[in-house]
Amino acid sequence: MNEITKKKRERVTTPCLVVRRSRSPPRSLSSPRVWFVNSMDNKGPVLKTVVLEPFIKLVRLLARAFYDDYTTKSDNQQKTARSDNRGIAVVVLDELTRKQWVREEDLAKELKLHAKQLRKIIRHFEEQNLIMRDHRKETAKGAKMYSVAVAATTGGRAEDKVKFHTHSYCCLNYPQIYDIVRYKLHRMKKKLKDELEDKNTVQEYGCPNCQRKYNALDALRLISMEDDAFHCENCNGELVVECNKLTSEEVADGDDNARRRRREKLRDMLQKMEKLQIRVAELRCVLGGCDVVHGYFVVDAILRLLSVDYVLFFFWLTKKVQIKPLMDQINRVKDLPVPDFGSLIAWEARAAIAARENGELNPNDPLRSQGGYGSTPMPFLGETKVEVNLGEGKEDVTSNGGDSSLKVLPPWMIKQGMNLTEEQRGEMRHEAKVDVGSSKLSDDKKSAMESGDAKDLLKDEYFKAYYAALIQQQQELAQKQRQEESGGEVVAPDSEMASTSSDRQVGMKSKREEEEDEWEEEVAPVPVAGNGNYKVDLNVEAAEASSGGEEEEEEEDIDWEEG
Amino acid sequence: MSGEEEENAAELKIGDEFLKAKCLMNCEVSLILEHKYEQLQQVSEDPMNQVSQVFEKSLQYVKRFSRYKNPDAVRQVREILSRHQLTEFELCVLGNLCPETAEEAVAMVPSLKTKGRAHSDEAIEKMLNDLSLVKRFE
Amino acid sequence: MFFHIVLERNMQLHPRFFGRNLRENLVSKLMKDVEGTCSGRHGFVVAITGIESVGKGLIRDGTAFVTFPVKYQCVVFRPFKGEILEAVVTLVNKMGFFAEAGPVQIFVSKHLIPDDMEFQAGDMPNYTTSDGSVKIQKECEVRLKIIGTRVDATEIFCVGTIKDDFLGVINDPAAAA
Repeated sequence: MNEITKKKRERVTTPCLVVRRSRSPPRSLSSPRVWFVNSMDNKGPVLKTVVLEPFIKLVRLLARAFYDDYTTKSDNQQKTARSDNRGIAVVVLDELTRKQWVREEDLAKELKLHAKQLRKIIRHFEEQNLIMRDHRKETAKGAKMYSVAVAATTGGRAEDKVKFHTHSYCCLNYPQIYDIVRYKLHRMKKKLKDELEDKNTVQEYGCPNCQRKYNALDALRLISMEDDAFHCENCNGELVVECNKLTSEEVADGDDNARRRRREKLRDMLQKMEKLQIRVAELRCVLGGCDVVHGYFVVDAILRLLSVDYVLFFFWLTKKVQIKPLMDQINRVKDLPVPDFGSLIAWEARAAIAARENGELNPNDPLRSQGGYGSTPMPFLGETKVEVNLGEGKEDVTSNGGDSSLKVLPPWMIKQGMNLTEEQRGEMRHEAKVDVGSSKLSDDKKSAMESGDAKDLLKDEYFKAYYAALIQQQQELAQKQRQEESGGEVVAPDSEMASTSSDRQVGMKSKREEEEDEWEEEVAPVPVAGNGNYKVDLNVEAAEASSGGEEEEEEEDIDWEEG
Repeated sequence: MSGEEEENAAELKIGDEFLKAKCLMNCEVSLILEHKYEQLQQVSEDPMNQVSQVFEKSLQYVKRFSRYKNPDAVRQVREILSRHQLTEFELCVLGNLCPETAEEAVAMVPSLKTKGRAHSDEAIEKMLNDLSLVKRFE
Repeated sequence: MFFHIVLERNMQLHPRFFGRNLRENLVSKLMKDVEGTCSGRHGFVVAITGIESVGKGLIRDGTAFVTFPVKYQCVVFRPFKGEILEAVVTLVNKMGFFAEAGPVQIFVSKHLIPDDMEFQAGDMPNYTTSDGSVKIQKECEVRLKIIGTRVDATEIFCVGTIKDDFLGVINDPAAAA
């Protein structure tokens, strides 16, 4: 990126007074981070600045807190390790935070999901109002509208040849998300509280003979004329009261006195929790490595030491999900203007105007990547990274932008550096440095984007080995590059390598421009195959996503210590 | 999140259709059903045979749980309650249950205290007091 | 809660009911058809109170029947989750008690009865506090909160609680007598 464009960027970004966390800097008008909304009031169009960042974070936290376990498999289907696709919903939501409107088939390609599978997930989110969708029978013109819009929002160029098909588009429904999160938190808290207090819960009954389950809503059918008890519809066995999950253990016999004692104890416990002032750090000491805490015995002991929001505490014990970051985030987002991309049509129209004003749309721009594999470039909104900030309330939009120490660079990042063009090398030369030391292998990269696909795991292993071997080579190359100002040097990837990576680059071309900016901060560009056909490996995101995940976990821990 | 799960009268989540609909207090239903029952009596020997079980049970219920019997009192109750920016549903819950204190009223109709609504305890007390006067002079 | 709402129904009428009394016939058939029914959406239809409009009849192909769209006002009873209402206890047993609020039946399971009330078996099974001051038995009136509804095409059944502030027995006929 040359100085002029850089200046231009700065000029555009200053007014919103936001230091960006993202490594991908905003593109001019239609920056992925900042969306300008033309609101028509009587003073004419007014430019409003909406900062996406906190909302993106919100979505990512939401995904992890509530959709972690989502699987497209129904319960009766046999779960094998291979077909277990839990976490897939998180991946999809994360990807959507990097987009505005996106064509679903492109998304599927990008995530390497079967279109059907993705549709199922998206439909699920649509039902929950998390996602807006639009379907239309695409004419050449319609497809072009979308391509133009994508080009305008990314600076990338869309594939021109699109067949006449019905295409579905989707977009995160940011205006709804705030309410959804609030509602979900509210429900969860209430449910837990009710369960703890044994209130508002529909009593469950079970048949000791045939294990059938009933609840109080079946009462009318279960009541018998002969005696006082409820009877199983199936075997006429006498039903017993099922104890609730949180506080189960001892009362399996349905003994009322035991039940009452337990409840009294629980109530007592709740009072203690509300009274005592004890820090969470102590909780961690007590729990130590204890993974799951059953019943109230342990809890009771702990509670002598603790006073935390007991609802949160129990949620943490039972679900092992940290929802405090989510609650913090929702509070932060509360008064911010909500990003709204509007309907697909409106979005396209706006993007088109933006492009025209900027004079930006030039399909022949050599800086733009060449379309291939029928892919449509997407607006790239930054890497997956969920941060949990503690204590301070105002850190929401502050940046850790240049903080590369947080980001563990997987080796294939460096390989991408190799794919950069001469121009890029030229403009980045001065900042370039290869930091191979920081590019440790990230162990759980696979989880994020590959959704646990065993085949891809193998591939990843292969890549690790391969890249490890390449690192040395790259170091040398980079050194060379620094010496020669115009490195026309070409490292030809071996044929197997090329074929393996080619199926990973589908749909990712457009990210090149954003990612090249990231590399300015992180990785030296190392030239390879200078034929202008840039390869961008999907694993970049996987790595980023997973390293983001690691950060999240770490910070969650911290959260418990400090919160 | 099924639709049913979302239903919660305490938060006035009873569906748009019912939220906008006209609610009836038990005493009002009682007037309507008794009137209808009288009409039936005029045309039929055995009116109880003419009505459904649902009608019969409802009539018994509203007769038993009507706080106000005389039509004028019923009208006054609605008038008093409608001065207080209540939804139809809230109005009828209060009219049916006749809470005695503000605390009880809020427990019966938690939506009175939702954010953005200006129902102070004093205002609620005043409203309940007006209602009890109607009852006393019925 | 009772509501006064407007519903619509397509009434099919045989030609033999046509003539001067067509409207009357239509209305009496409507009453026969819908009063006392229950739908998950609108609850129990208690009584029709008026006819808003009768649309133009449409002859059904291949039959002599004519379909009239009829809009009518009616009183419905629809219980809601979270609603607090008064009910009459109809049956007490060791699992809890059943109560009736108009057309709807409500079950209160034992664990949603306050902990200090014990079940007493006998001729008149009841739940009583240890000091005997409060007693729940058949025919007494309770104020309860609905915590769950089961709605199917023709029936609504509720589960309630009396374990909360300002809930419980409001009048015990035995005590009053």
